[in-house]
Amino acid sequence: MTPSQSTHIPGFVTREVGEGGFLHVRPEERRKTSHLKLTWIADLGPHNARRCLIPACLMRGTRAYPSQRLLNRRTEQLWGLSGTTSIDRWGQRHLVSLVAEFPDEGHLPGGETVFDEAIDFVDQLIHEPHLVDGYFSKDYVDSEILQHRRSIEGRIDNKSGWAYQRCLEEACFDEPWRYHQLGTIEDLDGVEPASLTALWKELKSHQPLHVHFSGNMPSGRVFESLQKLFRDNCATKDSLAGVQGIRAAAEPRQVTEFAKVQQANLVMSYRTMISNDHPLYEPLMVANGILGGFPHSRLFTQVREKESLCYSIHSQVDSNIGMMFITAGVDHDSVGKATDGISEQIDFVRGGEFSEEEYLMTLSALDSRLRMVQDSPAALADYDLRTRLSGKSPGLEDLRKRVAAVTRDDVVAALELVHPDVTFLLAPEEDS
Amino acid sequence: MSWSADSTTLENGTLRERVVERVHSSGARVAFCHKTGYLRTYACFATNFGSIDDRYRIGGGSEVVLPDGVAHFLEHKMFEGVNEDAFQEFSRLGASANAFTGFNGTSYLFSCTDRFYECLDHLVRFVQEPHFTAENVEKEKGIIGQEIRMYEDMPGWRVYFNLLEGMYQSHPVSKDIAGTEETISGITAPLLDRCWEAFYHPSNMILFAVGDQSEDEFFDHADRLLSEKDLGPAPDIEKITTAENLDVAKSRVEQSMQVGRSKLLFGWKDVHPGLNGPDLVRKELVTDLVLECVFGQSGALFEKLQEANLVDDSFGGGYMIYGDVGHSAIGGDVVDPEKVVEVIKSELPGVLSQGIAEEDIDRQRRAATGQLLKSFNSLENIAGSYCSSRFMGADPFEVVDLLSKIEPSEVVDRLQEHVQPERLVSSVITPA
Repeated sequence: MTPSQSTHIPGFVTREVGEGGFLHVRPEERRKTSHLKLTWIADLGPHNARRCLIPACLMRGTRAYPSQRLLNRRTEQLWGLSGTTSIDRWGQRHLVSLVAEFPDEGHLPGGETVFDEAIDFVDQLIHEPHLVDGYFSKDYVDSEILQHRRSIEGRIDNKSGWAYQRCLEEACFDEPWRYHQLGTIEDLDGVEPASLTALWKELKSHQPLHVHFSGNMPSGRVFESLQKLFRDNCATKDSLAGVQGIRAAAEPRQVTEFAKVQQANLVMSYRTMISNDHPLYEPLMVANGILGGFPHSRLFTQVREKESLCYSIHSQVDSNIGMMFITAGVDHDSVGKATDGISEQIDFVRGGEFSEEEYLMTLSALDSRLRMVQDSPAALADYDLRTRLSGKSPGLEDLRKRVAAVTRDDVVAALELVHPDVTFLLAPEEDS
Repeated sequence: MSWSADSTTLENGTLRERVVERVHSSGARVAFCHKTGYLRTYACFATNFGSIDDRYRIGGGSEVVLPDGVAHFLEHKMFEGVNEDAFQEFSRLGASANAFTGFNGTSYLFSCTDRFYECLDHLVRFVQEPHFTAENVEKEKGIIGQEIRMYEDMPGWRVYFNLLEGMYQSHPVSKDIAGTEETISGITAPLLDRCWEAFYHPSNMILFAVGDQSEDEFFDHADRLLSEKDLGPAPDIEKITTAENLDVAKSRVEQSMQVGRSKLLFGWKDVHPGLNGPDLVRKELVTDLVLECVFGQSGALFEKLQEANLVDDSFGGGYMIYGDVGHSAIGGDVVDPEKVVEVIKSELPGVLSQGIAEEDIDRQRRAATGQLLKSFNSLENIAGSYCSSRFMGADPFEVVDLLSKIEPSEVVDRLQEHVQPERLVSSVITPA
């Protein structure tokens, strides 16, 4: 397949700030707001939970606006600047992010301005938090520990997400990506203002920081203004642990747990042995698309539509950890049929029996998805960061070409490396 | 066929957006919004038939009562073609397609980066060519049954619909959009045919596109497309609304589920038969300002609740309006829902006597302007806002100019009218 023409949407221009700072700036004239994202990179591990407290405490107040109420009043004055934090994971890394979105000045009435004030505000959030005697306020720390404990306890509210994490923990019990990004309640024990303040200083000074900006503002001015966000940062190439290798599947096994749910949540994990730099990386993307990435995929058309076994079903690949997952919400009585149906579809694709149309539709859908990324500054920033962390070139156009060049034989070769690992089932309790 | 009237242009200086709309001689309203530089084009074909439309008559005939969930069931079955699922052709074209059913409408949509007009052809043709059979309707009950069970396991969904069940005595807005396994069991192919004939006539529909396409070419193409099929004169449909008074059904609804944290929503309902168009938009906007000033995270009430560790960042709310009824819903994840409601009830008399400061309203105006600018970055939001406004008989841009026109006294009056402590309804999900 030949991909449709390249898009000429400006990508990020990157400047390194020291060894571990990266400032990525791109002009964006199509939208009405600027998008700024700061992401600190750390290693996943047993102390994820206490790291999660840092952005939470930063959002409680600054030196100039020492309470959350005053902070929120300030964001409202800044034309509804949306300041949010997020905690995520990517492979073996823990991502701590702060995102600010605010109007481009050309859209404000009466020649009002907001850019400089918005950047100052973000700078204050990360460098000048509200401190009491040099430490985060004890009230705020205690309150955030309590809230975070509740967030961890609340993970069960999302049943499919819970089942996915349990499957990951079972399959990867000694690999670094088994740690949930929110961490554990035990890790919150003993956290005090002094230790958390030290952790904040360590994060901003010793962990790599990526800053992505998209907006309608001259890039020279943006580079100059955003430089200050990196002050204190002296991260080095040794700030992160070396890349963990991926491993082959062990003997397949099944784990079943029970909860008060109406529907069973099934997660089937597979080891792919295909890492980010493997030549079959793109073929595995296509294989996943044929199998379960789209509404035209085999799992949707055969297991859902033909067999009526479930409403939600899809597959996803994570080449950072060399795994593929198939998730489905099914009636407990139909779990056996669903797992058989899923395995049949994998064999079908692995056997090269998929139609030419399914293959071409998948190439086309993947290409379209990659082009669509370019309409969203948030998606572009995510794509840029994650491909860099995966050790790959962030060029979208190159990836489009590599995907378009994947052959049917490549798809079969990729799936030949895929072997079942742990199958996890979260089943309704009354059936136990 | 052609256009039955000259085009109308809706423009807004603050947003710098322009929508051109025309009424096709088939009866369909067709509209286009040009977005320079976007790679994606988004289009939807939406009918003003949603879950609250549960009774109707045609030409003064006898009343037809529909089972709960029929609009959503119809949406699922529209994708079934004679030879294949409608998703297949979208996949061949490299487009991403979907549909959703809301309280007052059902929308079929796609987004693509290429072959826009082929996708548009397919969208309109598949929605105008139903293929309901006894066999495919029965098969769908299994899939939708699983979807309903999935929603039953989602505490955020349950706490909202339980709130509506408490607020409304008989209005269909309180019914789950997908219905129940019991109500959908009675749905048949002839029933779906009758609903399609009644509500999918072009006169009840909007065809909307937004993206970097030629406006003239879009309207020429839409004219040819909508002229392909003559669906005859518009049926003389009378939607029968269910009268609702201000009395609530239950002031408190509680459900136990497997959740880590309790969930609380509380709010008030409005009944306003006969209110239409700009008045509905104004009411929604003024109420949102009230809720943000009183319950928002820059308010004194939130600060008090947060200091007592009763709420966290998930706390917030909004106002939703659907023709003759509307309601606020405020809340989030909490540990002690009873205590939160107790504090709210004890604080409200003070809030009501104190009113709302003009300074707070002005700050919320600025924030709302910024949020509106942000929402008009999104093609999905532009389409959704256009269709829902038009179904209410309102102008989608009206809200921007209204923001600057609303008087502080109107906000204070609305506070007194809407927030009545004795009519408060609460919904709680507690851990099982």
